Amino acid sequence: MESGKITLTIESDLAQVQHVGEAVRCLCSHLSLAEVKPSSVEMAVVEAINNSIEHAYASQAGNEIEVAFEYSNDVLNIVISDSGVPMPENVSGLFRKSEIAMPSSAVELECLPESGWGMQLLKTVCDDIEYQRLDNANRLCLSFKLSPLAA
Amino acid sequence: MNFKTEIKEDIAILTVVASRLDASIAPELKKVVAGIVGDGTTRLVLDLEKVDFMDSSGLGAVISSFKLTGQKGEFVICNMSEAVAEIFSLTHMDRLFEIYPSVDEGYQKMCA
Repeated sequence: MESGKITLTIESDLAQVQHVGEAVRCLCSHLSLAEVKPSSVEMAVVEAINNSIEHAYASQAGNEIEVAFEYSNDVLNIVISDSGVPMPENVSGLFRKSEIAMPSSAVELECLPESGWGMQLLKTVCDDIEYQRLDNANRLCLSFKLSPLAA
Repeated sequence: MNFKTEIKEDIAILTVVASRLDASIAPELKKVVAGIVGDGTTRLVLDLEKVDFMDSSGLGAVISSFKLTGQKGEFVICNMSEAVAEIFSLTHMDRLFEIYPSVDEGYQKMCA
């Protein structure tokens, strides 16, 4: 498979997020990216965009979010960029796979939090997550490993 | 309209009519359930048949709905698509919620 890059831009409006999610799912299906589950990639991208809207832009519409879909033989990188407020300085540690914390079956439903699941889902479905603050912009790269197809 | 409610024998059957239960409509689900409970119905069957995508905000709204009803009555979820089942599995919610393959089965459980 050839490498490629497709870039989408949306406004910081929660009602717009589904369009990028659906586009990403279709791209994954259309490109037949081995080892990648389109619904999982869509979920990860939606969570990252929601995070930009709700935290970087404090749910204010009228701002721009760019989603770059970059693929090659062995990796799919999806880079979500915004110009909102930076993530906390310790955020890199929060993206470590080793710190996934899902509830055990002994937990009572009444004790479950109603928010904070997005970060856990991101860490579960992505192979790697990298955050950078560059030129006053947030850049979150979600990586999914691909298995090279046999020649 | 993103939600439809039917009350049968003191049990609310709440159908999510939208195809996506995401951050854009999750707050509305909480309001609808709060209204149902406020009107005196604390047993609820949540029908997700039409939902083919759910994000963490949708999941949070489902947890909130349980908390609004479950402590006083009962709360079951029915008709999950493969994609919705995936988010429940990834977060281990499939081990915590009562989930049925159809509204009829969830409703019968409530009536038993």
